[in-house]
Amino acid sequence: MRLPSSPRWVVTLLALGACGVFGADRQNLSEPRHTELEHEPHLEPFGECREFTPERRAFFGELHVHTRYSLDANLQGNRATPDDAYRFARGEAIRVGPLDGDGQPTRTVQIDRPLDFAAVTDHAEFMGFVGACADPDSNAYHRRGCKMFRGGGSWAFGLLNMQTAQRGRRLKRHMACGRGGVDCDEYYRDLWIDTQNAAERHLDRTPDCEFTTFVGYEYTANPFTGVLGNVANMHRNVIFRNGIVPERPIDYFHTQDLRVFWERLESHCRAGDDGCDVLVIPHNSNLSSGLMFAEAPPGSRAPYTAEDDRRRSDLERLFEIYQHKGSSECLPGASSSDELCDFEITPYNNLRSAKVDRPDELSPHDFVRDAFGQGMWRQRQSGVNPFAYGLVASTDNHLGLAGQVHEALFMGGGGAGESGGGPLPDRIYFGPGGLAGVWAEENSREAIFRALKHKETFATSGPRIPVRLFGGWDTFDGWCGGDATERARTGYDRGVPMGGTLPQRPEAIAHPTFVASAVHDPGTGAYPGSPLQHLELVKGWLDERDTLQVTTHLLAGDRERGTLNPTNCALGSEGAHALCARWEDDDFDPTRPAFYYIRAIEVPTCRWTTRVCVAQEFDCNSPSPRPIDTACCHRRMGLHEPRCFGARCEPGSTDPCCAQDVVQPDIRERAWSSPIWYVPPDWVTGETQQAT
Amino acid sequence: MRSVLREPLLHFVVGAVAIALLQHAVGDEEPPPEVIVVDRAVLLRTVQARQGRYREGEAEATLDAMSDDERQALIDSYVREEALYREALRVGLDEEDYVVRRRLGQSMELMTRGLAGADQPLDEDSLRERFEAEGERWRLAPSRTLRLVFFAPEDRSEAGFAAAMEHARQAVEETEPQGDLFEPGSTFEAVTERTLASQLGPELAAAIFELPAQPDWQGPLRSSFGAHLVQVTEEQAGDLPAFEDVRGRIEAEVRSELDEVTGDAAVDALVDRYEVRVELER
Repeated sequence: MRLPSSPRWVVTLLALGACGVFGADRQNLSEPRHTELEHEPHLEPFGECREFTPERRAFFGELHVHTRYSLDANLQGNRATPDDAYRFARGEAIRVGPLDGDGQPTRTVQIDRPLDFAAVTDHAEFMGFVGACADPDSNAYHRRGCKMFRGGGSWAFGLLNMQTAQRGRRLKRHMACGRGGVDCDEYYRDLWIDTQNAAERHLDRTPDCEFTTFVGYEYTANPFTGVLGNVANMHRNVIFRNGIVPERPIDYFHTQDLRVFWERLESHCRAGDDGCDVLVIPHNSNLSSGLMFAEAPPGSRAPYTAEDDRRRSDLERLFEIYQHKGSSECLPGASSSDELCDFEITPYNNLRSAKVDRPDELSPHDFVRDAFGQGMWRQRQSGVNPFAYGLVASTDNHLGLAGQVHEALFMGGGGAGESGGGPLPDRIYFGPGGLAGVWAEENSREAIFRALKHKETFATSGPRIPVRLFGGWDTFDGWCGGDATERARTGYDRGVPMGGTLPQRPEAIAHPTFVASAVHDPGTGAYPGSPLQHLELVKGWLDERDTLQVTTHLLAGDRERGTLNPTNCALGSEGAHALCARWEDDDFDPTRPAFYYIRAIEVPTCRWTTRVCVAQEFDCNSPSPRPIDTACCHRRMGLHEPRCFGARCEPGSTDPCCAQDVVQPDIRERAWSSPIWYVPPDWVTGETQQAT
Repeated sequence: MRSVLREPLLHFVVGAVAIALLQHAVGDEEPPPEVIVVDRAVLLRTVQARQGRYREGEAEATLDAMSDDERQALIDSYVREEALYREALRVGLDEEDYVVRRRLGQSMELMTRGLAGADQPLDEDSLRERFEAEGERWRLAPSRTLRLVFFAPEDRSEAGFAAAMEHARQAVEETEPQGDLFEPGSTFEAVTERTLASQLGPELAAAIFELPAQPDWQGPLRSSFGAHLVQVTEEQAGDLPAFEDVRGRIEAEVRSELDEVTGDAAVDALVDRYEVRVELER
């Protein structure tokens, strides 16, 4: 899939008068990567979309969605192809299950508004198996494994988990594929090529640049861990820069060792001179049983080396902080009095518990904020912070519904293999997931990929809230007096954008200043957006004992603002359409490493569970006189029980907080910026910092 | 697809063909079948294949770093592998073992597809024909150049929005109406409806695109932000770009399709070389 550069049609377009933003301004931004149009023959064009914004615009997309090519999605009746997923993301209606007697999907669904970009990320591991089992002419088709697969059922769902939980010699491939997988290999190749072709077909190559696609897949490692046989989520999405991709995905059958996985991505893609480049996005550390951010790879006692950390941080630039199976930001009550950690926490710490609905004790080490601290500590040891992630969110939707994030439109994620029972489309703890946001000059592959790689990204729990954060040694006086364009110019000229690292501190300046803004999601007529409640900054640093400390700082708005009527989801009249603030870190200690990110929080709105109850005309909060459906409004459901987090739940406890079904009626939708990092001058002992 | 060119198998095949041609040219005689020649090239290939060291110079470095014992072990294992391989060929296992047949076939197919997608000059006329045939698909979306003045509601109640609309209504006759700061921006140059919609919401963007270009302020328009006055200074119809301006983009598109289509075609062409006789009579 080689894509030669386009000739310069820009000049002519300028003459057409259709291109006002092109020109001199572009030179003013401080980051060298944007000072000129770059052209290399093997790369896709950059700077040739008719709308090019040197100060960058916010784009919203999906980097994690599954189609029928994924074993688990397929087993749940997903008939959508990668083509369908992209069509859906672009705003076309597609058909989804349940299937009728002829195996045809019975429902039509359409996104509330199109996405700007998307990547289909099917599980690579069983692609060939799925393809071969569907083709009556294949050798695999009549074998037992395929018959069981076509028969469906829960065993088959377990197949994925069990197969990709094994390591080394115990790892057996799918039973229908023959020696060495020979009878599935060509199907694997075909589906991988089809994945690439779907991305190529839906990339908008006209100068309007309305929609960008990326070729991607999911590396599905679920190693067993612990005495209980927990299945730890070590999944990672792999996103390629353009159509130049390896012949086959580097999947779990290829290597079960993460270090080799990184090495192969480097040698099979990044080391070449043909324009192949790749990003790896880990997700659901909340279900990793302590493995995602551990010091050593699963099953090994030897810690990751400095070289591993270097390779890891080169590839794993981003982390998916929120999706269908919960939030991985921070554990409530763990490191600070940060109440907003209490957001879409699933009560499980691994995939098996999630599957059998067995609540676990959660550990703060499975959350990315803790990893930020770990990473800073590791940086002093190895010179590299392996967890200096930028942040994105995604849906992980297994119905092919890319970016279907509205709480009112949730049809179930399909990722856990079952619905919630009764009128609920999913388990009550799961949700529709969120979106990935980037700040880029234009909606092209090159521009979006660069933004991802440089971590100028943000995550949202669904609403399209553009959040922006700059930090630097300037005072940024009067920043909020300007509009988006003026703010951005000042931000880039005098500071670093989110995802960046503060430059060396000028001696005369005692502390950094941060400027932040957020605009509410205007939504659509049918599904209006909600106003913002407040904007806050989260600061984390390592204290003298190298312990992570976290404080939160209200920047603008009011933490209590907003009233919600959960019986009809109506909002009160409070809230802001935009928030902006400037903040100086008066407690700054230049000898300690730190990170800073912002959260923009909407006023409370109805969670999808409550919306289902409301739609069914059940009132979760006042059971009479309306009837209660126990599947919908269980005895705890809809009740806000903040005190329950941190409750000590011994087995057999009668404390209602220990009931398994505590969810809140409201959700405080939000956006998270990527952090800005501060590294003390004497802290970098190894290689130099990653350039931002 | 370019990574096909890094495929060691391809290197191997190309190398083998080259050697065969060379030998043919210089009339070099093949060594008798019972001789196994182990030279540096053989060892390099073995190191590459076994250890996945395909990067340039990597296999060389690995080989050079080997102690004598290690190298001897490598030679021994290669000889064993080669001898068994030749014996297998001698007794015709390659023809009878289905797995081997499939593997070889798959490798051939992979190679054929990879080569088919390689750089081939694209016919200028066919690109132009495609552009003309597709016509409207290449038409640019219409755009507007405009200014906005924003009136923020006191709160988000109906009364708050109504008051903001009233303020805007009073200001619409002024030449430079004064409003509140509008974060998304107050001027938009040659902006498409889609881009405007992503920042202001689809309803407001659509309403703005309904307005004619004229020097007067128009509105007020209501949105989830508040009330807006709009001055549309320019209205650009969606032009059809000249072929030369989008030629590169069309070529990129054609190439991405070619990889898909020519791969199949190249394999079909291979298969078509054979005459097929179906003999099913018992």
